[in-house]
Amino acid sequence: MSNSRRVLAILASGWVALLTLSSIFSTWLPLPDPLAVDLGRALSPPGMGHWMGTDELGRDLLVRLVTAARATLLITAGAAALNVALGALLGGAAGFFGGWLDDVLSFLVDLFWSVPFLVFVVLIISVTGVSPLSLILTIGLINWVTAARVVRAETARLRGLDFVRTAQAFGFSHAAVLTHEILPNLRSTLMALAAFSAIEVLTLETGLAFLGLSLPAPAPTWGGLLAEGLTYLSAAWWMAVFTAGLITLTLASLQVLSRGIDAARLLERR
Amino acid sequence: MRWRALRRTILRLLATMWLIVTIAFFCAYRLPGDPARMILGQKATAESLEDFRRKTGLDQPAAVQYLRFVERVLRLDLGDSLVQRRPVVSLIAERGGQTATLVGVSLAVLALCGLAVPIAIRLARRQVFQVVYSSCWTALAIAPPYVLSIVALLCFAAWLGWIPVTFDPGRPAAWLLPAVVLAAYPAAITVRLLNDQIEQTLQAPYVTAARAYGYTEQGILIRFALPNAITPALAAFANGMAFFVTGTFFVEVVFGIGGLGTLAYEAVRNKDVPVLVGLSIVFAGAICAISTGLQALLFALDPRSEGHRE
Repeated sequence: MSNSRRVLAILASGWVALLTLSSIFSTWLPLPDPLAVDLGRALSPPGMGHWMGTDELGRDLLVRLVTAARATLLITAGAAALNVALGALLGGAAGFFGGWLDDVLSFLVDLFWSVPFLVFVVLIISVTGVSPLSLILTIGLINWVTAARVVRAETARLRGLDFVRTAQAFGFSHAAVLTHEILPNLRSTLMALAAFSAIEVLTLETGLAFLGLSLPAPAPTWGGLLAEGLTYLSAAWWMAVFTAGLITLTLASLQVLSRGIDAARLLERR
Repeated sequence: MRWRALRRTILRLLATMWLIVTIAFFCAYRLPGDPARMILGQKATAESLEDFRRKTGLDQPAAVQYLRFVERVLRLDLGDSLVQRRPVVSLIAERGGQTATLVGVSLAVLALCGLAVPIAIRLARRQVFQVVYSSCWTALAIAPPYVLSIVALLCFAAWLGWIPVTFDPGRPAAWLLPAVVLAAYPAAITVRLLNDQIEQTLQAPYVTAARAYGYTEQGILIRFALPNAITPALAAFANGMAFFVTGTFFVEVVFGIGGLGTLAYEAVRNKDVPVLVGLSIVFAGAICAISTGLQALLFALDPRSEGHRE
């Protein structure tokens, strides 16, 4: 890894860590109330007191963005974890056991690959109603295909390698071989998939929130703040700019992380 | 051989369409949640709910409802919009043109920026331009379409004042910016794949042989590298089709284009389930049809690519 790439990777992980920590601890941080209305200071530009300006009700944008990160990251982490877990389970089983299990999985993957489920997410969320759980389940259950394909290929490759065959020849059970031989070697693959999946989920979740399909009104979400920014685009540029910047920065950091993990994984394999 | 492949493709497409309709039915009527209550609202009385269920057939067994639904879709009857009190099909037909225009202009932009320009830069043999050009698109593609379109609107409409803030479908130039925003992500992918693939081909032994034969570098590029590079770029685009088409949702909403995306946006706001069901079927069907068409084109260009899904 070249030096500039390393610096970039450190910056990216630093940003993701900062975001995660601040959203976990946001309730204990000495921040003003994200819902506190102050009509006298509505739509005031960035300055002292309100570093990122205020929205149409005089609420502080910075505080709202930090608060929104909590829900957004929770849903992203939940759905991405569900994606990777499902992918690992299905892909791992298909790759390790092969046979009819593999055929069934290939069929499922083909199905999910050819039907654009992305389109149905809007319908599903509209019907089931919006809650963190429904968002996590819907996105998590739809988006596992990439993970399953990658894990399946990797497991099938590992299964043929000498150390796995040796363990099997020694008579270790399938469960033991899977947990002690296969799983440790899948770790970097799973990490890369998690980062990749987080990018997709965050993009989708924020897009849904932008369309109005996320937590209801007073609770801020990144997508919701972006939609507000669009409404006040010519009156209050800061709302759109800071929200857009935050989303882009986070996605870019995840992108850098996912590429970095992937590059490290390929080196490791050599 | 070719006919068999064609027949299989068509059968596959039909099966996918059937699946799409089934999934749409399932999502709308069999998920937890009461469609009658959702449509009539929380204040509806028990009698009016009962009455509504009887009229719309929601009291029938699921299988009967499903068969009815499929039969209606086959007759191109997607029900009436709850808010506009008009057939969903005519709403979609009315507003589909704007979305089709957006997608069409965007595809033209993609063909130009994602294929023609990088190839021209290659032919001009300017390494620096190529790196800069490719990085520009990669940077643009990091931001999702909703972010990118808001930033574009802010820069070009609110600050520079080059385009009016309100969208005017009559002005051809107005379509350009939304189309570029929509094309950013696939363009980044095709530019990168094209460059990677060309680099790879230029390492191949037969290219060395061609050089020894006295082909010029440009000649090698046109004769060997491009034909090998275009199919993967197209295949990647075919796979990214869903993202590309759903991107119209956001681009339309931000720029205020009155197509299917804004129709979906309004339907989400109003909980207009029949419109959402109809739009899901239309969007999913369109995505499948276009990517099947692209796959057929790929097969025609390169028969080895049959069933090629990477």
